[in-house]
Amino acid sequence: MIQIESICKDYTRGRNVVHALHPTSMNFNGGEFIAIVGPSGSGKSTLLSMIGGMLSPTSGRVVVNGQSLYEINVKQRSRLRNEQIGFLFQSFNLISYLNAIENVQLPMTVYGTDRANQQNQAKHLLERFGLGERLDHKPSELSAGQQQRVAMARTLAMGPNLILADEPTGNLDPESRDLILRTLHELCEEGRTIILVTHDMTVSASAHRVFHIDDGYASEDTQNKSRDAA
Amino acid sequence: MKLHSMVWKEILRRPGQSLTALLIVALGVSALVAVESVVASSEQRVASQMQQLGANILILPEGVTLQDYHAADAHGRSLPEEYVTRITLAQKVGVEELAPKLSVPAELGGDSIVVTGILPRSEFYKKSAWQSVDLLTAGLSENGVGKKHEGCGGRSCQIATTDKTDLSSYATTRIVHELDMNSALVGADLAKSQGIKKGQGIRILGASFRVEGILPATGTSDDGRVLAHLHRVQELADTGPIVNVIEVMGCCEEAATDLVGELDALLPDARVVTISQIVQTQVTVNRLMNRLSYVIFGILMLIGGASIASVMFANVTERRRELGTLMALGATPGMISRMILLKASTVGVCGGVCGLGLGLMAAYVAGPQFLGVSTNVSMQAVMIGLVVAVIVSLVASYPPARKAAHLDPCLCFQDS
Ligand SMILES: Nc1ncnc2c1ncn2[C@@H]1O[C@H](COP(=O)(O)OP(=O)(O)OP(=O)(O)O)[C@@H](O)[C@H]1O
Ligand SMILES: [Mg+2]
Repeated sequence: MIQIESICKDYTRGRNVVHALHPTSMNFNGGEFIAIVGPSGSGKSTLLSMIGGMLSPTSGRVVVNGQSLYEINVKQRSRLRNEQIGFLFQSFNLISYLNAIENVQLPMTVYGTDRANQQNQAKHLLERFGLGERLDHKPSELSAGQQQRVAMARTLAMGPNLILADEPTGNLDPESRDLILRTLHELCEEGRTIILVTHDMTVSASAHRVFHIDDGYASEDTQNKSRDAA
Repeated sequence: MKLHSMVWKEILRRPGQSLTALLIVALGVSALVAVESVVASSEQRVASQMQQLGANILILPEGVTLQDYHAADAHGRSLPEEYVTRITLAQKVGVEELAPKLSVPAELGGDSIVVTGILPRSEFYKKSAWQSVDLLTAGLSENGVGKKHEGCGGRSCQIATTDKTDLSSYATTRIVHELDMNSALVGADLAKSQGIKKGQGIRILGASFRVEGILPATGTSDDGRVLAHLHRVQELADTGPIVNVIEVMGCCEEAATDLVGELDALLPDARVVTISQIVQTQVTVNRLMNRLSYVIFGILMLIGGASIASVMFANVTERRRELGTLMALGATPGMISRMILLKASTVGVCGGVCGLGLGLMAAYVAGPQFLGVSTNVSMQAVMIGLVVAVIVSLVASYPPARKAAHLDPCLCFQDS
């Protein structure tokens, strides 16, 4: 359960104030697939960052699984992110000097999982995404599609129940894009909440709910609501 | 995977980046360790000389300056041997031994060596060619040599009559009791390099000598010399009755101090110096080197620290998306700054250890080679070097670590 209670974000640069996001309220349930669409600079990443506990809103609250993200301290928020939230990025954000399996181990390293469990879990996840032969390959030795699969494995390392994805298919070929989308839908069916930022209409078409953001104003696309029941 | 292995992998990705900082730290530590180790050995040598020879006085020809006791006869100038007689006759209280020496160059088995003429102690007790007084019967015990010197704990200070025949005593006491005109003593190094054995005959200065003994190694220039009777050396080298140095052994340091003035008055044409005066130069040099090494260390540590700070700032800026991503994955700001500090201290420790190796190598090579002292590792310098290197790297990387901890995690959403 994610409750977004009239959050807004203003960036202040000297005298200039950018209203990146106007007050917005949303509620998401477990197992929902949410798409957020909007033009560049409209505030999509800003919203995602606030949901992910990485950017405190100028006002309003974000409650994830009963915990108000900005009423706990940095350490607790980091812990919550580590255990309950997974991120996917447009440019994958793999660590260049670590190989595939080490990249997947990262969230577990941060958590403090012991070595053997880290390795088992990471290997298992990479095998699930067809990368069993690529465990010790560096990101630079992998194709874009393979890199995003490694990133997907990393996202799942701690078994998060909320996945935040910022244009995860933006840099991918159609085949890889479909694989990532299929996986996200599978994860959604397992009961996780997926919030996906995209420009791609075919991607948003498969979502349960679609939110439009334009110049910091967010609104739900009610035409898609019918899918919610499904 | 643990955090530290991640830090290590990041360093190894581009080791060149941290290399400059590491080198500067290494240089600082090596300078400190090398100089301090050499100084420590030198200090130890000075201390042992003082302990062994503290009561000794050298009588040198006017104008001779020297910093090394063992080279006291290597200046090429001379004194009349008659001075020995003057000292003996003056019966100065506190004189325990007298050792005149004359060194001349010679050849042995094709090598250039030094032959040193010494006067065995037995010469002081017999009526000899160079003196007309029989010291034993001169009634000395009444008014001079036999008197007790108050400074020496009531010990009577006279030229002792201990009847020793052990030739190797020269190595420690610099006194030989018996040495006849055709006998020679050979230094340990020389004996070894030329395969000379006790009892064998050798030819030097155109005369034959029987090797009465091989002197134990002393670690000084004595190890490469041949010792023979002073008068025989004078005769063969045709020098006349001269010596290069007269060593006066006082029976204690206080006696020696008193003696300096008296001997100065007695021998106005000679220079009278005590061992402490000789080592004083070395002590001053040591003190200077000691200070200088800390100054150099301090300067290099400052530069090293600045370079670590700048490298780490650049590193944090360059890695901000990576660090933002780590935060998105749940790393706390504390963890991020720990990674930076860990990297910096790794550079510090590596620099310190490299510097330690370099410094010890330099000390072991340069010490004996250029400064003529063997090397004792200065543990104090090693500890200070390592600890300061680590502290400097930690302090220097604190600001960049803070910056890293305050990075905006939203940076992870930026495109590469
Ligand atoms: N740190 C910041 N300081 C000031 N303004 C910012 C900051 N981050 C974002 N903005 C501004 O806030 C607005 C929303 O930015 P945001 O990154 O959320 O857009 P976006 O919808 O994700 O765009 P894109 O599709 O290009 O990623 C933009 O006008 C941007 O310039
Ligand atoms: Mg964005």
